[in-house]
Amino acid sequence: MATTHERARAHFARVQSEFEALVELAAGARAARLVELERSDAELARELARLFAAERAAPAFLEEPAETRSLEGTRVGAWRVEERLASGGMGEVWRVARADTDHPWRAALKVLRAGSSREALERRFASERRTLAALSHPDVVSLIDAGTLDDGRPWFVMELVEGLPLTRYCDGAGLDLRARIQLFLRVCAAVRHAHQRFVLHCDLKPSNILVTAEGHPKLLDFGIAELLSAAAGSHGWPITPGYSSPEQVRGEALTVAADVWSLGALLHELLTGELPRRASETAFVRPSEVAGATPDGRPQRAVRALRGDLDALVLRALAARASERYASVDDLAADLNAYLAGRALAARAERPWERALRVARRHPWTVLATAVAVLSLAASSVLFAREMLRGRDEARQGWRAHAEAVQVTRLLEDVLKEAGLRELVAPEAFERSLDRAALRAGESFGSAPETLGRLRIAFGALYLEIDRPEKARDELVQGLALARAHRGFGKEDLQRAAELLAEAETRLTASGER
Amino acid sequence: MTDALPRERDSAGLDAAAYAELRSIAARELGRERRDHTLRPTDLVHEAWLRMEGAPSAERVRLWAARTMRQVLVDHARRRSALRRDAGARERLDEDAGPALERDRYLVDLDAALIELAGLSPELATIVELRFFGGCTVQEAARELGLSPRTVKRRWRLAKAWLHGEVADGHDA
Repeated sequence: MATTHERARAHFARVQSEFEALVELAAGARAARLVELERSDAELARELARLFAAERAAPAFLEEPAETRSLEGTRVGAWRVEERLASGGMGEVWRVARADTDHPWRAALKVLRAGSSREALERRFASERRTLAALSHPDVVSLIDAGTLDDGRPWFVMELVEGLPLTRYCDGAGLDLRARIQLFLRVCAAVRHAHQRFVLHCDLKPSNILVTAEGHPKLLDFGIAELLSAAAGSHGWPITPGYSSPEQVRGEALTVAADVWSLGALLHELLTGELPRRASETAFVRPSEVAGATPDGRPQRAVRALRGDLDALVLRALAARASERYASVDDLAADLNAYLAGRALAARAERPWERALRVARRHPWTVLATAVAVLSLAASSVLFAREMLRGRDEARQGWRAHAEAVQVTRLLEDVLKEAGLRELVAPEAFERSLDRAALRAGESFGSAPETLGRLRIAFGALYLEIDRPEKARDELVQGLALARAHRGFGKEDLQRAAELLAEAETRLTASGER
Repeated sequence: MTDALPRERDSAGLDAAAYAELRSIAARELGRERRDHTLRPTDLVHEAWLRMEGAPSAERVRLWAARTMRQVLVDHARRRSALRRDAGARERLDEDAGPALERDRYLVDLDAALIELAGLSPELATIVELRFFGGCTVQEAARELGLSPRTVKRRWRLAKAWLHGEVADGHDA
């Protein structure tokens, strides 16, 4: 006769065999089997359902071992373990001292954490060790030694970096904008070194970039770094909010663009003291606005320094779409160097008017002359259009010129608008600009009479556009004289100039100004 | 002779002398009453090991360490709980004691549940000892027990689910 205990054991054996049969099934199949079981043995089915519910409710239950083994005071390879520096999800970092020399050489030991399911962690750990071995750069932490503990845990010893996180260092040392950018460029160089060896860092943030007391940055923690080829198919990245790229957050394949994004976030923080602030789902607030909005009354100087180039640069690095970011850390660094040297930035090159604007600010007169020439082209295209209506031979050519002119004119309009020269659109202001351009043209193009002739005729057309026939006539008379003296002008040019002059005379007569 | 000894031990039977030795070391450790009480099972076992003649076979080291760990931790938790009960009768418990108290109760309850589980399936209880008290991975536990990792994983899941049902009442964990 079975005792109570024997019955309990038998019952548990039944539960165990059913549980083991069900546990690896997909949720749907498991539920179906439980329903089936309910008919034959309702009590067993309920007991199993309870077990699965408990498992779902507490996935972490008992997963963390009761006590973790401490390495303090032990010997690991040739190293004596001194003090725990950090303990993370993957492993522990200990300060160690070389035990076999008289000069205690200190370094950092990283060991995989004891316990916990760690097949995936072991792979990552081995990957970090390989990564560090592949890198050799003064600003990247270096691998010194490696081995395996008695209990099978892998370890490695790396250079011990005593320093402050990048952002804290910059604040503490009171670095100005320029010095911050220069330090950041060194970080870029270290990241580029990794990229050149097909290693993505994937976790760039201030705490992983320490700056020593001497001011040298050190890139560390390649714990989730990936080989570029491996990254293409990996998912489930650890995420650092604020520093992880959108594609990393989404768990997509990563490229160097992910590190570029993180560097962008880091640079933003270095320049404004804050992480990038979202303006919308895909866009960020300009760093200059973030800096300007700080309540502590940050000097306007900082805002002005950021506005324009640095705004564009940071936002380019933080573009939501990887394809819209800098293609490489090199490109990002190149733009920062360009900024420091006062040269034009690639970040702003994709919008031609911005580039024109920069030139405009530096060389307003050149721009105005160009603008006028372009506008005259537009004016001439109007004439071509008229000619086409009259069925002239040049019709087709005229259309092409017209199309080009329209494009160029639009570009120019953008330039003018964005240049804050909106008033140019007003006839009076435009007239003043034309006056200056006309005056300047005589000085600038005296030695190029053909060009000057074309400009005079163009100015004449433009004066007509804003209904200044008197000035138009003066320009056209000069232009025609130059045109007649030079063979570069065709019959059509002369005829057009003559028509314009006739138009000017007609208007003058009509207004009775003569 | 020293070679033959370890292999004669069965899975549950720790060498009595070794066990006693470990217990005494553990007691000494606890006697220090360090405020930041962190036991070092590796050190513990290692020290005991060195003192012993004829160490058991390497395969049994983990289980032995795990069981020692369980014993030491649970004893300690039980004693601390008792001390607190006495103190609590006289004065209010200080607030810092909250989490530690929870942890101690939890360990004591877990130990009781584990004894019950061992009555139903010694193997499942051993898996929990190895994983939770011994800090073994699934792989290591599998090697220890001569099972496939997949089997250990399934049974580990059952043990956890069952124990959770036993100790979850009154505990958040």
